[in-house]
Amino acid sequence: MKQFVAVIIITGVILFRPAAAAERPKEDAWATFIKAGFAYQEGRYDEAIVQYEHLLQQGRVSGALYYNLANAYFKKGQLGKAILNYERARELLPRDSDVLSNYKLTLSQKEQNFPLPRKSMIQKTAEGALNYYTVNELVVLTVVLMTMAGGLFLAALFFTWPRQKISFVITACLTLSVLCAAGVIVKMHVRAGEGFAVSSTEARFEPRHDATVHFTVKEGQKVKALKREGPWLKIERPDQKTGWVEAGTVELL
Amino acid sequence: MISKKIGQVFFICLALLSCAGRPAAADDVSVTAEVDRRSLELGSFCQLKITVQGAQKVEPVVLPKIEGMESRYLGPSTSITLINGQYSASRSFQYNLYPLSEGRYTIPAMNVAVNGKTYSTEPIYLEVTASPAAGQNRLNGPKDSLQDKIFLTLSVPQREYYVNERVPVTMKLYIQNLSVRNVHYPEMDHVGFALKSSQDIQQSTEILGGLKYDVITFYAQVYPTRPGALTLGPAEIVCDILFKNPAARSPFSRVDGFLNDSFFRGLFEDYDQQTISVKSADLRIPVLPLPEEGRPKDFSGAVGPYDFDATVTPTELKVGDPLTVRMTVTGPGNPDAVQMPALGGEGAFKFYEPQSTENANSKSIEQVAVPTSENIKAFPAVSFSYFDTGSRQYKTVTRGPFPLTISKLKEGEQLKIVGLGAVPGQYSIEPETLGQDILFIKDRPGPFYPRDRLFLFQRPGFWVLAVVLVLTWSGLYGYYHFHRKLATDTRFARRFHAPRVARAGLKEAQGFMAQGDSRQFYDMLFKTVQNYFSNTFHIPGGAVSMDVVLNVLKEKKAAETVLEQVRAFYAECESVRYALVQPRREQMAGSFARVTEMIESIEKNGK
Repeated sequence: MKQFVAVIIITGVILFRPAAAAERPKEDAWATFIKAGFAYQEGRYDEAIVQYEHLLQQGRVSGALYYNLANAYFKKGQLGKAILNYERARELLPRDSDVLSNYKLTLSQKEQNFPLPRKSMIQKTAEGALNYYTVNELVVLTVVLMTMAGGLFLAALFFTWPRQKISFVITACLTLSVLCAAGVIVKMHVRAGEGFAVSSTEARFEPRHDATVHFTVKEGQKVKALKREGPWLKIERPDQKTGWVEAGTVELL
Repeated sequence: MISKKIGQVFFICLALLSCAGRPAAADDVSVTAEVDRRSLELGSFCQLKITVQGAQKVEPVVLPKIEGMESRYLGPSTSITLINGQYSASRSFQYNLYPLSEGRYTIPAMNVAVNGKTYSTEPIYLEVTASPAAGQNRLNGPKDSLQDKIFLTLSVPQREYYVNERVPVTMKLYIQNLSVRNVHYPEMDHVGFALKSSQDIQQSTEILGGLKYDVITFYAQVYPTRPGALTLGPAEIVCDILFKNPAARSPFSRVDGFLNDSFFRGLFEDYDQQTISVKSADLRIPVLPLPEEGRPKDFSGAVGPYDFDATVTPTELKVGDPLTVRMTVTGPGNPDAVQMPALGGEGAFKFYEPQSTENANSKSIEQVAVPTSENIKAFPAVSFSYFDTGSRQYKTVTRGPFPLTISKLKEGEQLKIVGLGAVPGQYSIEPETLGQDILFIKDRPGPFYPRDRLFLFQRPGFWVLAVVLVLTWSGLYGYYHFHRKLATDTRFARRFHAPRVARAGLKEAQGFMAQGDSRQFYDMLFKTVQNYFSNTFHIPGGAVSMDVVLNVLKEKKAAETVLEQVRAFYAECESVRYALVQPRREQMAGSFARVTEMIESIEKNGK
């Protein structure tokens, strides 16, 4: 029995270890992060950006890392990149008040050249609920709730608990778990292809430089990437206008 | 007597109107010549009208001799119009023209002397065709097609344009002798152009090729967005035309007499309405790219003659007080393509979000800036660069620097008593103005995640856990169902326990075999096999016999060897139990082995 438990623990540790990050010395990452923080504090934002980007290139991400990088871009006046990284930080730290505050301030400074589509109360509520949790939190909630429902079902069978009473709890658990799973799917679907313009650019009707300009994409504008054609990216603006922009002007989440 | 009085009143009114209104200036005189049709048949005639607008005292115009055509002077007519206090008079001379042979004729330009000046008309071209066949109306002449009576033109003033330069587009709808209703605003293809439609519409009349047209003019502005030979148009306009329905008859057509008079016929004539679409030709416009040479770094994208102005107010202020920078760019180019100049002074001033306004020909921006030090002496100059299409060069307009007088805050000046000043001893603090900036960075990175496996479901461990959970749940659920079946299904429970019970019986029999007690051994062996068959095939204990067992096994299609083993077992038991023969130990061992084999083969085959 002891051997079985030991095997389970070792297997779990191996399977759940943070793969790429664990391979690199954690101390190095910490040191780079702190060093970048000092550069930021002293107003050397370019240097801070290089350090933070270096960490990202190593395959490490964290909410605080994205947040600090966004701050550095904001200080450099690169609102597009700042918004992009605040958005990434929000995915990992959805309830962090610092992230939300800076994100809102940055959004308020962004140029908006078209009216955003109005959202219904239901849309706003659903969006608020989805933005409150990370994808991983929703996944864990889904698994836990389903396990609870399954466990309660079995317990009711084995211990002959009154089914009418327990079925309500089981239904509630299953409903919530389905909602959480739907939340994961929606979040992933929305996230797929979502990006931000890192510089103001012109969207054209065709993926050519001499094509007619359809509309202007302002820096920091949220767009959805639909298709890639060589160095061109077909994007959709929130008002559902589509056009081709140079791929370098839009960075995906 | 009455008619004389009416005549007097008319002339008085005319005189008053003449005094009240201002006559048109002498320069407003114009002379036009028009015909009522340009195509006619031999034997018919057309009417020529020469109109002198802006003058009354004009001698009749003597028509020049036109080879192959006779003319007859019908007489003059005078008209006076009074619009918004301005009156204008015109005098017309009408002629009938009779062609003498087929062919193309030209009514040459005619000179008319008005107030000592000579004015010329445009030449008019006429086409005379052969006489119609007998029975046809000779007076009507050939019918003009609808395209001649209503058509749309599209025009731009220049031959070529630059990218983002304003292109004023004029669309004219020409209508001749047609009743047109519900004229829609024209739609125009503008691939490669940004379109700014204008709702300006003008109505006028124009003489075109000697024919008088009512003209509706629409204006629009387009901005080429890329270089190359671009095609503008065609423009298309939708409208309704009214035409007489020849098939319809007046409700009084059957009544003879005065109701058949032309006045009443006109009153009750039936008109049909038809919606038509009129399309113009398209325009090929060469669009030039903006030259790379001499392009300033801060080129704003503005193309055309532009003006730029900037102001900074107030110029005397204290540290922390806001000042407003106003910049206005005025010009005809594409306002969407114009970027306002960037403000300098970063660090010395704190800038707030700009407010921008856009009009037809101007774009303005207002930005609040707060000086951070009393050492600042001026607000930096702002420059606006544009491409001047007139000189075909880039130009830069610079405004400023704007001198500023910034004074230091006096100590304690931030505290101001407001509102309750009238009550002695009470004061309030002026509402605090909160700064706006981002919050500071985080000093701890928090947990690092691998970027390529950011989500749990991207990690194999998650799926292993999920499979383990599902398997555990399924196992427990299956276990529950198995035990429930054992408890509630007797047949299943007996069948399930049969091998175990048989094994226990065989073990006991084995003990008797070891003691050499053949009777007890065979009794136990028989009992075990009987119980096994009873449990396995769910047969009541007392009903188990060789025949019953063999029948059941045959029904279950058991192998013949098994059937033989069953027969042999029963025969052996009979002979030992009821005969006086004492079997040897070897015989008992053989019986035991056969029974074991028989049970195993039945179990193996699931029978």
